[in-house]
Amino acid sequence: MSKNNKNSGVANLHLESSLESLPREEMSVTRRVLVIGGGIAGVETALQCAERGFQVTLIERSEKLGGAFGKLAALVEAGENPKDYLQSKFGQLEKNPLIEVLTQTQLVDLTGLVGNFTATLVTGTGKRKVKVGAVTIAVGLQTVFCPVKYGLAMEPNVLGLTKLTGELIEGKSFTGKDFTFVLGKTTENFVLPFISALKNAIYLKEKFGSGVSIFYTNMKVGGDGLEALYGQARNLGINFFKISENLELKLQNNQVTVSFQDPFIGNKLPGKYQVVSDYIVIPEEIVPVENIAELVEVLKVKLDAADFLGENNVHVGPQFTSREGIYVVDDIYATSCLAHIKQDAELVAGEIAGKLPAEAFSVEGDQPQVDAAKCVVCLTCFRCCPHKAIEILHDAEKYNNLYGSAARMNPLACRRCGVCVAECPGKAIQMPGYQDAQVVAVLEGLVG
Amino acid sequence: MAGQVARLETFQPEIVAFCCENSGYLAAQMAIEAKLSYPQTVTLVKLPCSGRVDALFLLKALENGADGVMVLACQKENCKFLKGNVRAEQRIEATRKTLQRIGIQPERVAFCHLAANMGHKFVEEVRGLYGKLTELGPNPGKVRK
Ligand code: SF4
Ligand code: SF4
Repeated sequence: MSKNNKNSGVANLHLESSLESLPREEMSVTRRVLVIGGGIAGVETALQCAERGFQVTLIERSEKLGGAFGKLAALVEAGENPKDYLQSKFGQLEKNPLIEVLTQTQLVDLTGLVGNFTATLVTGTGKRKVKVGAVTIAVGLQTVFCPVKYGLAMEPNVLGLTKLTGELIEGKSFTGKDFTFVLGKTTENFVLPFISALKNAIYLKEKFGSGVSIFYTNMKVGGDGLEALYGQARNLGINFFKISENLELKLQNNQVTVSFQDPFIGNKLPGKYQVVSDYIVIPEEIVPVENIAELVEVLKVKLDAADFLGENNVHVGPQFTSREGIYVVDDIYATSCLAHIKQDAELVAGEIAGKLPAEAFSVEGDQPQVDAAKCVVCLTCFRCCPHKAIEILHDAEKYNNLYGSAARMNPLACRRCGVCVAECPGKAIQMPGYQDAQVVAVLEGLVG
Repeated sequence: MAGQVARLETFQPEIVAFCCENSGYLAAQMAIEAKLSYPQTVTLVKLPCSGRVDALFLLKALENGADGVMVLACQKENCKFLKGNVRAEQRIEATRKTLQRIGIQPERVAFCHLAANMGHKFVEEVRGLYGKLTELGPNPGKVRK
Protein backbone atom coordinates (compact mmCIF):
# COMPACT_ATOMS: atom_id res chain seq x y z
CA MET A 1 0.00 0.00 0.00
CA SER A 2 1.58 3.15 -1.16
CA LYS A 3 0.02 5.43 1.40
CA ASN A 4 1.34 3.59 4.43
CA ASN A 5 3.37 5.58 6.83
CA LYS A 6 5.62 2.83 8.06
CA ASN A 7 7.03 4.93 10.87
CA SER A 8 3.84 5.23 12.83
CA GLY A 9 2.46 1.95 11.61
CA VAL A 10 -0.66 3.48 10.22
CA ALA A 11 -1.82 4.84 6.95
CA ASN A 12 -3.94 7.69 8.05
CA LEU A 13 -6.10 7.98 5.06
CA HIS A 14 -9.25 9.59 6.27
CA LEU A 15 -11.35 11.47 3.80
CA GLU A 16 -11.28 15.19 4.15
CA SER A 17 -14.78 16.43 3.66
CA SER A 18 -14.34 17.69 0.18
CA LEU A 19 -15.27 21.28 0.10
CA GLU A 20 -17.79 20.91 -2.63
CA SER A 21 -19.89 24.01 -2.68
CA LEU A 22 -23.18 22.94 -1.20
CA PRO A 23 -26.45 24.51 -2.17
CA ARG A 24 -28.21 26.33 0.62
CA GLU A 25 -31.78 25.35 1.31
CA GLU A 26 -34.56 27.73 2.25
CA MET A 27 -36.56 26.66 5.29
CA SER A 28 -39.80 28.04 6.59
CA VAL A 29 -40.90 26.92 10.03
CA THR A 30 -43.50 27.47 12.74
CA ARG A 31 -42.08 29.11 15.82
CA ARG A 32 -44.44 27.49 18.28
CA VAL A 33 -43.44 24.89 20.87
CA LEU A 34 -45.72 22.19 22.20
CA VAL A 35 -44.89 21.43 25.84
CA ILE A 36 -46.31 18.15 27.12
CA GLY A 37 -46.81 18.11 30.89
CA GLY A 38 -47.89 20.91 33.17
CA GLY A 39 -45.68 20.11 36.13
CA ILE A 40 -42.93 22.45 37.18
CA ALA A 41 -40.67 21.19 34.36
CA GLY A 42 -43.29 21.99 31.72
CA VAL A 43 -44.08 25.38 33.25
CA GLU A 44 -40.40 26.37 33.35
CA THR A 45 -39.91 25.24 29.75
CA ALA A 46 -42.94 27.17 28.51
CA LEU A 47 -41.67 30.35 30.14
CA GLN A 48 -38.15 29.86 28.81
CA CYS A 49 -39.41 29.31 25.26
CA ALA A 50 -41.70 32.34 25.43
CA GLU A 51 -38.77 34.41 26.62
CA ARG A 52 -37.03 33.52 23.37
CA GLY A 53 -39.97 34.75 21.34
CA PHE A 54 -41.70 31.41 20.73
CA GLN A 55 -45.41 30.86 21.00
CA VAL A 56 -46.15 27.99 23.35
CA THR A 57 -48.97 25.50 23.75
CA LEU A 58 -48.67 23.87 27.16
CA ILE A 59 -50.83 20.80 27.61
CA GLU A 60 -51.60 18.90 30.82
CA ARG A 61 -53.53 15.66 31.20
CA SER A 62 -55.10 16.44 34.55
CA GLU A 63 -57.31 19.33 35.60
CA LYS A 64 -54.63 21.54 36.94
CA LEU A 65 -51.02 22.49 36.60
CA GLY A 66 -48.36 21.95 39.22
CA GLY A 67 -47.73 18.21 39.19
CA ALA A 68 -45.90 16.64 42.11
CA PHE A 69 -43.88 19.75 42.86
CA GLY A 70 -46.58 21.48 44.91
CA LYS A 71 -47.25 18.38 46.93
CA LEU A 72 -43.80 16.97 47.52
CA ALA A 73 -41.13 19.49 46.92
CA ALA A 74 -41.23 21.28 50.26
CA LEU A 75 -38.53 19.12 51.74
CA VAL A 76 -36.67 18.34 48.59
CA GLU A 77 -36.37 22.03 47.85
CA ALA A 78 -35.51 23.39 51.27
CA GLY A 79 -35.23 27.14 51.12
CA GLU A 80 -38.03 27.65 48.61
CA ASN A 81 -41.68 27.46 49.45
CA PRO A 82 -42.91 25.40 46.50
CA LYS A 83 -46.51 26.59 46.72
CA ASP A 84 -45.48 30.25 46.57
CA TYR A 85 -42.99 29.48 43.86
CA LEU A 86 -45.64 27.75 41.77
CA GLN A 87 -48.12 30.58 42.30
CA SER A 88 -45.64 33.13 41.03
CA LYS A 89 -44.94 30.94 37.99
CA PHE A 90 -48.66 30.53 37.27
CA GLY A 91 -48.97 34.31 37.42
CA GLN A 92 -46.23 34.64 34.82
CA LEU A 93 -47.92 32.07 32.58
CA GLU A 94 -51.22 33.90 32.72
CA LYS A 95 -49.69 37.26 31.93
CA ASN A 96 -47.71 35.98 28.98
CA PRO A 97 -49.64 36.48 25.74
CA LEU A 98 -47.41 33.98 23.92
CA ILE A 99 -48.44 31.06 26.11
CA GLU A 100 -51.64 29.09 25.78
CA VAL A 101 -52.42 26.58 28.56
CA LEU A 102 -54.72 23.62 27.92
CA THR A 103 -55.57 21.33 30.82
CA GLN A 104 -57.33 17.97 30.43
CA THR A 105 -55.63 17.76 27.07
CA GLN A 106 -53.64 14.99 25.45
CA LEU A 107 -51.57 14.65 22.32
CA VAL A 108 -52.94 11.89 20.10
CA ASP A 109 -51.09 12.39 16.84
CA LEU A 110 -48.01 14.10 15.51
CA THR A 111 -47.10 14.28 11.83
CA GLY A 112 -44.38 16.13 9.96
CA LEU A 113 -40.82 16.96 10.88
CA VAL A 114 -39.00 19.47 13.06
CA GLY A 115 -40.00 23.00 12.18
CA ASN A 116 -43.28 21.82 10.73
CA PHE A 117 -45.04 19.32 12.95
CA THR A 118 -48.82 19.10 13.08
CA ALA A 119 -50.05 18.00 16.48
CA THR A 120 -53.55 16.67 17.08
CA LEU A 121 -54.78 17.41 20.57
CA VAL A 122 -57.82 16.01 22.32
CA THR A 123 -59.27 18.52 24.75
CA GLY A 124 -62.42 18.49 26.85
CA THR A 125 -64.29 20.04 23.96
CA GLY A 126 -63.01 17.91 21.09
CA LYS A 127 -60.12 17.52 18.68
CA ARG A 128 -57.89 20.30 17.59
CA LYS A 129 -54.89 20.56 15.29
CA VAL A 130 -51.96 22.83 16.06
CA LYS A 131 -48.90 23.55 13.96
CA VAL A 132 -45.73 23.45 16.04
CA GLY A 133 -42.03 23.60 15.26
CA ALA A 134 -40.79 21.63 18.25
CA VAL A 135 -42.08 19.42 21.04
CA THR A 136 -40.88 19.15 24.62
CA ILE A 137 -41.69 16.20 26.82
CA ALA A 138 -41.91 17.13 30.49
CA VAL A 139 -44.04 14.35 31.88
CA GLY A 140 -41.96 13.49 34.94
CA LEU A 141 -42.15 10.10 36.58
CA GLN A 142 -44.31 7.90 38.72
CA THR A 143 -43.58 6.07 41.94
CA VAL A 144 -44.84 2.66 43.02
CA PHE A 145 -44.64 1.47 46.60
CA CYS A 146 -43.48 -2.12 46.75
CA PRO A 147 -42.26 -3.25 50.22
CA VAL A 148 -42.34 -6.90 49.14
CA LYS A 149 -39.09 -6.32 47.29
CA TYR A 150 -37.54 -5.61 50.69
CA GLY A 151 -39.23 -8.62 52.25
CA LEU A 152 -41.60 -6.35 54.16
CA ALA A 153 -45.36 -6.41 54.60
CA MET A 154 -47.68 -3.42 54.16
CA GLU A 155 -47.67 -2.15 57.73
CA PRO A 156 -48.35 1.34 59.08
CA ASN A 157 -44.74 1.69 60.15
CA VAL A 158 -43.38 0.76 56.72
CA LEU A 159 -43.27 4.00 54.74
CA GLY A 160 -42.28 5.00 51.25
CA LEU A 161 -40.08 8.06 50.84
CA THR A 162 -42.69 10.20 49.10
CA LYS A 163 -45.38 9.06 51.54
CA LEU A 164 -43.20 10.24 54.41
CA THR A 165 -42.51 13.52 52.63
CA GLY A 166 -46.24 14.02 52.15
CA GLU A 167 -46.97 13.31 55.82
CA LEU A 168 -44.26 15.71 56.95
CA ILE A 169 -45.65 18.44 54.72
CA GLU A 170 -49.12 17.86 56.14
CA GLY A 171 -47.60 18.49 59.53
CA LYS A 172 -47.79 15.03 61.10
CA SER A 173 -45.73 14.83 64.28
CA PHE A 174 -43.09 12.16 64.77
CA THR A 175 -41.76 13.40 68.11
CA GLY A 176 -39.60 10.82 69.84
CA LYS A 177 -39.82 8.33 66.98
CA ASP A 178 -36.74 6.71 65.50
CA PHE A 179 -36.32 6.01 61.80
CA THR A 180 -34.38 3.60 59.63
CA PHE A 181 -33.94 4.27 55.92
CA VAL A 182 -32.84 1.52 53.53
CA LEU A 183 -31.60 2.80 50.20
CA GLY A 184 -30.23 1.43 47.03
CA LYS A 185 -31.69 -2.00 46.60
CA THR A 186 -33.93 -1.31 43.65
CA THR A 187 -33.51 2.36 42.85
CA GLU A 188 -29.77 2.70 42.72
CA ASN A 189 -29.82 4.07 39.18
CA PHE A 190 -31.65 7.14 40.36
CA VAL A 191 -30.33 10.08 42.37
CA LEU A 192 -33.69 11.36 43.52
CA PRO A 193 -34.27 8.81 46.34
CA PHE A 194 -30.90 9.64 47.91
CA ILE A 195 -31.61 13.36 47.96
CA SER A 196 -35.10 12.87 49.24
CA ALA A 197 -33.92 10.50 52.00
CA LEU A 198 -31.19 12.88 53.14
CA LYS A 199 -33.57 15.84 53.25
CA ASN A 200 -36.22 13.88 55.13
CA ALA A 201 -33.63 12.53 57.56
CA ILE A 202 -32.29 16.01 58.29
CA TYR A 203 -35.80 17.36 58.75
CA LEU A 204 -36.74 14.54 61.18
CA LYS A 205 -33.57 15.04 63.15
CA GLU A 206 -33.92 18.81 63.42
CA LYS A 207 -37.65 19.02 63.98
CA PHE A 208 -38.38 15.97 66.15
CA GLY A 209 -34.96 14.96 67.42
CA SER A 210 -35.49 11.52 65.89
CA GLY A 211 -32.72 8.97 65.85
CA VAL A 212 -32.04 8.26 62.18
CA SER A 213 -30.01 5.45 60.60
CA ILE A 214 -29.48 5.21 56.88
CA PHE A 215 -28.45 1.92 55.32
CA TYR A 216 -27.08 2.21 51.82
CA THR A 217 -25.16 0.25 49.21
CA ASN A 218 -23.76 3.32 47.45
CA MET A 219 -24.47 6.90 48.40
CA LYS A 220 -25.28 8.71 45.19
CA VAL A 221 -25.06 12.43 45.70
CA GLY A 222 -23.70 13.64 42.38
CA GLY A 223 -25.03 17.13 41.67
CA ASP A 224 -24.70 20.71 42.80
CA GLY A 225 -24.77 21.03 46.60
CA LEU A 226 -25.78 17.43 47.16
CA GLU A 227 -22.54 16.28 48.67
CA ALA A 228 -22.85 19.11 51.19
CA LEU A 229 -26.23 17.71 52.09
CA TYR A 230 -24.60 14.40 52.96
CA GLY A 231 -21.99 16.21 55.06
CA GLN A 232 -24.73 18.11 56.88
CA ALA A 233 -26.56 14.88 57.67
CA ARG A 234 -23.39 13.32 59.09
CA ASN A 235 -22.65 16.38 61.21
CA LEU A 236 -26.13 16.26 62.66
CA GLY A 237 -25.43 12.75 63.95
CA ILE A 238 -27.40 10.72 61.44
CA ASN A 239 -25.88 7.25 61.29
CA PHE A 240 -24.79 5.86 57.96
CA PHE A 241 -24.20 2.15 57.48
CA LYS A 242 -22.79 0.74 54.31
CA ILE A 243 -24.34 -2.62 53.65
CA SER A 244 -23.63 -5.50 51.36
CA GLU A 245 -26.18 -8.17 50.56
CA ASN A 246 -27.23 -9.54 53.89
CA LEU A 247 -29.60 -7.17 55.53
CA GLU A 248 -32.36 -8.76 57.63
CA LEU A 249 -35.44 -6.69 58.26
CA LYS A 250 -37.95 -7.77 60.93
CA LEU A 251 -41.23 -6.16 61.98
CA GLN A 252 -42.34 -6.95 65.52
CA ASN A 253 -44.51 -5.13 68.11
CA ASN A 254 -44.57 -1.95 66.07
CA GLN A 255 -40.82 -1.98 65.91
CA VAL A 256 -38.41 -2.58 63.11
CA THR A 257 -35.20 -4.49 63.70
CA VAL A 258 -32.43 -4.39 61.17
CA SER A 259 -29.68 -7.00 61.54
CA PHE A 260 -26.60 -6.58 59.43
CA GLN A 261 -22.91 -7.22 59.06
CA ASP A 262 -20.87 -4.10 58.65
CA PRO A 263 -18.19 -4.48 55.98
CA PHE A 264 -15.95 -1.90 57.71
CA ILE A 265 -16.25 -2.61 61.44
CA GLY A 266 -16.66 -6.28 60.63
CA ASN A 267 -12.92 -6.69 60.11
CA LYS A 268 -12.13 -5.67 63.67
CA LEU A 269 -15.29 -6.62 65.51
CA PRO A 270 -16.95 -9.37 63.54
CA GLY A 271 -20.53 -10.44 64.11
CA LYS A 272 -24.01 -9.18 63.57
CA TYR A 273 -25.21 -5.75 64.57
CA GLN A 274 -28.76 -4.64 65.20
CA VAL A 275 -30.56 -1.34 64.91
CA VAL A 276 -34.08 -0.97 66.29
CA SER A 277 -36.42 1.83 65.26
CA ASP A 278 -40.10 2.77 65.10
CA TYR A 279 -40.37 3.32 61.38
CA ILE A 280 -38.68 1.92 58.34
CA VAL A 281 -38.56 4.02 55.19
CA ILE A 282 -37.82 2.55 51.78
CA PRO A 283 -37.76 4.27 48.40
CA GLU A 284 -40.69 3.75 46.09
CA GLU A 285 -39.86 2.24 42.73
CA ILE A 286 -39.42 4.86 40.03
CA VAL A 287 -41.28 4.07 36.84
CA PRO A 288 -42.30 6.01 33.74
CA VAL A 289 -45.72 7.64 33.72
CA GLU A 290 -48.41 5.19 32.67
CA ASN A 291 -49.19 6.60 29.23
CA ILE A 292 -45.55 6.75 28.18
CA ALA A 293 -45.89 3.94 25.65
CA GLU A 294 -48.68 5.72 23.75
CA LEU A 295 -46.85 9.02 23.90
CA VAL A 296 -43.70 7.45 22.50
CA GLU A 297 -45.68 5.86 19.70
CA VAL A 298 -47.30 9.15 18.79
CA LEU A 299 -43.96 10.97 18.84
CA LYS A 300 -42.12 8.13 17.05
CA VAL A 301 -39.15 8.43 19.37
CA LYS A 302 -37.11 5.58 20.72
CA LEU A 303 -37.03 4.72 24.41
CA ASP A 304 -33.78 3.87 26.11
CA ALA A 305 -33.00 0.29 27.05
CA ALA A 306 -34.89 0.44 30.34
CA ASP A 307 -37.98 2.02 28.76
CA PHE A 308 -37.32 5.39 30.23
CA LEU A 309 -37.50 8.54 28.24
CA GLY A 310 -34.42 10.47 27.17
CA GLU A 311 -31.31 9.01 25.64
CA ASN A 312 -28.98 7.04 27.86
CA ASN A 313 -26.02 7.26 25.52
CA VAL A 314 -22.58 8.82 25.93
CA HIS A 315 -22.90 10.67 22.63
CA VAL A 316 -26.36 12.12 23.16
CA GLY A 317 -27.48 14.22 26.12
CA PRO A 318 -30.54 13.11 28.10
CA GLN A 319 -32.40 16.19 26.89
CA PHE A 320 -32.38 14.80 23.36
CA THR A 321 -34.44 12.05 21.79
CA SER A 322 -33.93 9.99 18.68
CA ARG A 323 -35.59 12.76 16.66
CA GLU A 324 -34.62 16.35 16.02
CA GLY A 325 -37.13 18.83 17.39
CA ILE A 326 -38.35 16.57 20.19
CA TYR A 327 -36.74 17.15 23.56
CA VAL A 328 -37.00 15.98 27.16
CA VAL A 329 -36.88 18.24 30.19
CA ASP A 330 -36.05 16.55 33.48
CA ASP A 331 -35.64 12.97 32.33
CA ILE A 332 -36.35 10.17 34.72
CA TYR A 333 -32.72 9.71 35.81
CA ALA A 334 -32.28 13.38 36.62
CA THR A 335 -32.20 14.65 40.18
CA SER A 336 -35.54 16.42 39.67
CA CYS A 337 -34.29 19.24 41.87
CA LEU A 338 -35.63 22.64 40.90
CA ALA A 339 -32.15 23.86 39.97
CA HIS A 340 -31.72 20.97 37.58
CA ILE A 341 -35.16 21.40 36.05
CA LYS A 342 -34.45 25.07 35.40
CA GLN A 343 -31.14 24.19 33.77
CA ASP A 344 -32.78 21.62 31.52
CA ALA A 345 -35.57 23.99 30.55
CA GLU A 346 -33.06 26.65 29.62
CA LEU A 347 -30.92 24.23 27.65
CA VAL A 348 -33.87 22.89 25.68
CA ALA A 349 -35.32 26.34 24.98
CA GLY A 350 -31.87 27.44 23.78
CA GLU A 351 -31.62 24.36 21.57
CA ILE A 352 -34.99 25.11 20.00
CA ALA A 353 -34.08 28.75 19.45
CA GLY A 354 -30.90 27.64 17.68
CA LYS A 355 -32.76 25.12 15.57
CA LEU A 356 -35.58 27.47 14.55
CA PRO A 357 -33.94 30.91 14.57
CA ALA A 358 -36.59 32.63 12.46
CA GLU A 359 -39.73 31.88 10.50
CA ALA A 360 -37.66 31.74 7.34
CA PHE A 361 -33.94 31.09 7.11
CA SER A 362 -31.51 29.14 5.00
CA VAL A 363 -29.32 26.19 5.99
CA GLU A 364 -26.39 24.42 4.41
CA GLY A 365 -27.66 21.44 2.45
CA ASP A 366 -24.92 19.07 3.54
CA GLN A 367 -27.31 16.20 4.29
CA PRO A 368 -27.45 13.20 1.93
CA GLN A 369 -29.05 13.97 -1.43
CA VAL A 370 -31.29 11.74 -3.53
CA ASP A 371 -30.94 11.38 -7.27
CA ALA A 372 -34.62 11.21 -8.13
CA ALA A 373 -33.93 9.47 -11.42
CA LYS A 374 -32.59 6.49 -9.44
CA CYS A 375 -35.14 6.53 -6.60
CA VAL A 376 -37.88 3.92 -6.91
CA VAL A 377 -39.64 5.06 -3.72
CA CYS A 378 -39.01 1.69 -2.08
CA LEU A 379 -39.09 3.32 1.37
CA THR A 380 -35.98 1.46 2.55
CA CYS A 381 -34.31 4.68 3.63
CA PHE A 382 -37.54 5.99 5.12
CA ARG A 383 -37.83 2.92 7.34
CA CYS A 384 -34.22 2.57 8.40
CA CYS A 385 -33.42 6.18 9.24
CA PRO A 386 -32.81 6.06 13.01
CA HIS A 387 -34.00 9.64 13.33
CA LYS A 388 -37.14 9.49 11.22
CA ALA A 389 -35.72 12.36 9.18
CA ILE A 390 -36.85 11.27 5.73
CA GLU A 391 -39.95 12.43 3.92
CA ILE A 392 -41.35 11.26 0.61
CA LEU A 393 -42.13 14.21 -1.61
CA HIS A 394 -44.42 14.20 -4.63
CA ASP A 395 -43.86 16.55 -7.51
CA ALA A 396 -44.37 15.17 -10.99
CA GLU A 397 -42.67 18.19 -12.55
CA LYS A 398 -39.56 18.05 -10.44
CA TYR A 399 -38.95 14.33 -10.10
CA ASN A 400 -38.15 12.74 -13.40
CA ASN A 401 -39.08 9.17 -12.51
CA LEU A 402 -42.04 6.89 -12.97
CA TYR A 403 -43.55 7.89 -9.67
CA GLY A 404 -43.13 11.64 -9.77
CA SER A 405 -41.87 11.20 -6.19
CA ALA A 406 -38.63 10.84 -4.31
CA ALA A 407 -37.25 10.46 -0.84
CA ARG A 408 -35.77 13.54 0.76
CA MET A 409 -33.53 13.88 3.78
CA ASN A 410 -34.81 16.89 5.64
CA PRO A 411 -31.87 19.18 6.45
CA LEU A 412 -33.24 20.12 9.88
CA ALA A 413 -34.20 16.58 10.92
CA CYS A 414 -31.21 14.67 9.52
CA ARG A 415 -28.22 14.03 11.79
CA ARG A 416 -25.94 13.00 8.93
CA CYS A 417 -25.11 9.45 9.94
CA GLY A 418 -25.13 7.96 6.47
CA VAL A 419 -27.27 4.93 7.30
CA CYS A 420 -29.78 5.69 4.52
CA VAL A 421 -26.94 6.15 2.04
CA ALA A 422 -25.53 2.72 2.75
CA GLU A 423 -28.95 1.01 2.75
CA CYS A 424 -30.48 2.40 -0.46
CA PRO A 425 -30.70 -0.59 -2.80
CA GLY A 426 -30.72 1.69 -5.83
CA LYS A 427 -27.63 3.64 -4.74
CA ALA A 428 -29.77 6.72 -5.27
CA ILE A 429 -28.44 8.56 -2.22
CA GLN A 430 -25.08 10.30 -1.97
CA MET A 431 -23.59 11.96 1.08
CA PRO A 432 -21.52 15.13 0.61
CA GLY A 433 -17.95 14.52 1.72
CA TYR A 434 -18.48 10.77 1.74
CA GLN A 435 -19.70 10.06 -1.79
CA ASP A 436 -19.39 6.45 -2.89
CA ALA A 437 -17.00 7.56 -5.62
CA GLN A 438 -14.77 9.36 -3.14
CA VAL A 439 -14.47 6.39 -0.80
CA VAL A 440 -13.99 3.94 -3.63
CA ALA A 441 -11.27 6.16 -5.12
CA VAL A 442 -9.42 5.92 -1.83
CA LEU A 443 -9.82 2.15 -1.79
CA GLU A 444 -8.57 1.89 -5.33
CA GLY A 445 -5.46 3.76 -4.29
CA LEU A 446 -4.59 0.90 -1.97
CA VAL A 447 -2.49 -1.02 -4.43
CA GLY A 448 1.08 0.17 -4.33
CA MET B 1 7.27 -27.38 5.38
CA ALA B 2 10.17 -25.08 4.74
CA GLY B 3 8.27 -23.44 1.92
CA GLN B 4 5.32 -22.74 4.16
CA VAL B 5 7.44 -21.17 6.83
CA ALA B 6 9.04 -18.96 4.25
CA ARG B 7 5.62 -17.91 3.02
CA LEU B 8 4.41 -17.06 6.49
CA GLU B 9 7.43 -14.91 7.02
CA THR B 10 7.02 -12.87 3.91
CA PHE B 11 3.27 -12.59 3.82
CA GLN B 12 2.08 -9.43 5.55
CA PRO B 13 -1.69 -9.18 5.33
CA GLU B 14 -3.06 -5.82 4.27
CA ILE B 15 -6.04 -4.64 6.30
CA VAL B 16 -8.49 -1.80 5.68
CA ALA B 17 -10.25 -0.63 8.84
CA PHE B 18 -13.41 1.39 8.39
CA CYS B 19 -13.67 3.51 11.50
CA CYS B 20 -16.58 5.34 12.98
CA GLU B 21 -15.26 8.80 13.75
CA ASN B 22 -16.93 8.76 17.18
CA SER B 23 -15.20 5.65 18.47
CA GLY B 24 -12.97 3.47 16.28
CA TYR B 25 -11.08 6.35 14.73
CA LEU B 26 -10.44 7.97 18.11
CA ALA B 27 -9.38 4.63 19.61
CA ALA B 28 -6.88 4.20 16.77
CA GLN B 29 -5.53 7.72 17.34
CA MET B 30 -5.16 6.87 20.99
CA ALA B 31 -3.22 3.70 20.20
CA ILE B 32 -0.92 5.72 17.95
CA GLU B 33 -0.36 8.41 20.57
CA ALA B 34 0.33 5.80 23.25
CA LYS B 35 2.79 4.17 20.82
CA LEU B 36 1.12 0.78 21.17
CA SER B 37 2.57 -1.57 18.63
CA TYR B 38 0.35 -3.22 16.04
CA PRO B 39 0.77 -4.41 12.45
CA GLN B 40 1.79 -1.62 10.12
CA THR B 41 -0.29 -2.73 7.21
CA VAL B 42 -3.53 -1.26 8.45
CA THR B 43 -5.20 1.54 6.56
CA LEU B 44 -7.79 3.60 8.41
CA VAL B 45 -10.77 5.01 6.60
CA LYS B 46 -12.78 7.46 8.68
CA LEU B 47 -16.55 7.58 8.25
CA PRO B 48 -19.21 9.58 10.11
CA CYS B 49 -20.77 6.42 11.54
CA SER B 50 -20.27 2.69 11.15
CA GLY B 51 -23.75 2.85 9.62
CA ARG B 52 -22.22 4.55 6.56
CA VAL B 53 -20.13 1.44 5.80
CA ASP B 54 -21.52 0.21 2.54
CA ALA B 55 -21.22 -3.44 1.49
CA LEU B 56 -19.68 -1.88 -1.61
CA PHE B 57 -16.77 -0.49 0.42
CA LEU B 58 -15.94 -3.85 1.96
CA LEU B 59 -15.99 -5.59 -1.43
CA LYS B 60 -14.05 -2.81 -3.14
CA ALA B 61 -11.35 -2.96 -0.49
CA LEU B 62 -11.00 -6.72 -0.90
CA GLU B 63 -11.02 -6.39 -4.67
CA ASN B 64 -8.35 -3.72 -4.54
CA GLY B 65 -5.73 -5.57 -2.60
CA ALA B 66 -6.82 -5.89 1.03
CA ASP B 67 -6.52 -9.34 2.59
CA GLY B 68 -9.05 -8.48 5.24
CA VAL B 69 -11.34 -5.65 6.23
CA MET B 70 -12.70 -4.56 9.57
CA VAL B 71 -15.40 -2.23 10.81
CA LEU B 72 -14.93 -0.48 14.12
CA ALA B 73 -18.22 0.68 15.61
CA CYS B 74 -19.46 2.20 18.85
CA GLN B 75 -20.46 0.08 21.82
CA LYS B 76 -23.89 -1.51 21.70
CA GLU B 77 -26.69 0.88 22.69
CA ASN B 78 -24.17 3.69 22.42
CA CYS B 79 -24.17 4.64 18.77
CA LYS B 80 -24.30 8.40 18.37
CA PHE B 81 -26.95 7.77 15.74
CA LEU B 82 -28.65 5.10 17.83
CA LYS B 83 -28.88 2.35 15.23
CA GLY B 84 -25.87 2.87 12.97
CA ASN B 85 -23.85 0.11 14.61
CA VAL B 86 -26.78 -2.30 14.45
CA ARG B 87 -27.27 -1.59 10.76
CA ALA B 88 -23.55 -1.99 10.11
CA GLU B 89 -23.42 -5.35 11.85
CA GLN B 90 -26.34 -6.66 9.80
CA ARG B 91 -24.77 -5.43 6.60
CA ILE B 92 -21.48 -7.10 7.47
CA GLU B 93 -23.24 -10.38 8.11
CA ALA B 94 -24.81 -10.09 4.66
CA THR B 95 -21.44 -9.28 3.09
CA ARG B 96 -19.87 -12.33 4.74
CA LYS B 97 -22.54 -14.49 3.14
CA THR B 98 -21.88 -12.97 -0.26
CA LEU B 99 -18.18 -13.68 0.15
CA GLN B 100 -18.83 -17.26 1.17
CA ARG B 101 -20.90 -17.79 -1.97
CA ILE B 102 -18.08 -16.63 -4.19
CA GLY B 103 -15.48 -18.69 -2.37
CA ILE B 104 -13.79 -16.12 -0.16
CA GLN B 105 -13.46 -16.87 3.53
CA PRO B 106 -16.02 -14.79 5.44
CA GLU B 107 -13.57 -14.48 8.35
CA ARG B 108 -11.78 -11.86 6.29
CA VAL B 109 -14.42 -9.41 7.44
CA ALA B 110 -14.18 -8.47 11.12
CA PHE B 111 -16.51 -6.32 13.17
CA CYS B 112 -16.05 -4.97 16.65
CA HIS B 113 -17.66 -2.66 19.15
CA LEU B 114 -15.39 -0.29 21.04
CA ALA B 115 -15.32 3.11 22.68
CA ALA B 116 -13.18 6.15 21.91
CA ASN B 117 -10.93 5.50 24.91
CA MET B 118 -10.11 1.89 24.03
CA GLY B 119 -6.83 2.10 22.18
CA HIS B 120 -5.82 -1.29 23.56
CA LYS B 121 -8.96 -2.90 22.15
CA PHE B 122 -8.19 -1.42 18.74
CA VAL B 123 -4.75 -3.00 18.87
CA GLU B 124 -6.15 -6.31 20.08
CA GLU B 125 -8.69 -6.46 17.28
CA VAL B 126 -6.18 -5.52 14.60
CA ARG B 127 -3.72 -8.13 15.86
CA GLY B 128 -6.52 -10.68 16.01
CA LEU B 129 -7.50 -10.16 12.40
CA TYR B 130 -3.86 -9.96 11.33
CA GLY B 131 -3.16 -13.33 12.97
CA LYS B 132 -6.20 -14.88 11.35
CA LEU B 133 -5.27 -13.53 7.92
CA THR B 134 -1.73 -14.79 8.31
CA GLU B 135 -3.19 -18.27 8.75
CA LEU B 136 -5.65 -17.87 5.89
CA GLY B 137 -3.01 -16.60 3.52
CA PRO B 138 -3.47 -13.97 0.81
CA ASN B 139 -6.96 -13.01 -0.25
CA PRO B 140 -7.83 -15.06 -3.35
CA GLY B 141 -10.36 -12.45 -4.41
CA LYS B 142 -7.94 -9.69 -5.21
CA VAL B 143 -8.58 -8.41 -8.69
CA ARG B 144 -5.65 -6.03 -8.56
CA LYS B 145 -2.71 -7.75 -6.94
S1 SF4 C 1 -33.95 3.69 -0.36
FE1 SF4 C 1 -33.26 4.72 -2.23
S2 SF4 C 1 -34.69 4.06 -3.80
FE2 SF4 C 1 -35.64 3.55 -1.85
S3 SF4 C 1 -36.90 5.33 -1.37
FE3 SF4 C 1 -34.92 5.70 -0.40
S4 SF4 C 1 -33.76 6.87 -1.93
FE4 SF4 C 1 -35.50 5.95 -3.00
S1 SF4 D 1 -28.13 10.46 7.11
FE1 SF4 D 1 -28.95 9.33 8.86
S2 SF4 D 1 -30.27 10.81 9.89
FE2 SF4 D 1 -29.90 11.62 7.86
S3 SF4 D 1 -31.62 10.89 6.66
FE3 SF4 D 1 -29.97 9.41 6.40
S4 SF4 D 1 -30.36 7.85 7.92
FE4 SF4 D 1 -31.57 9.64 8.50
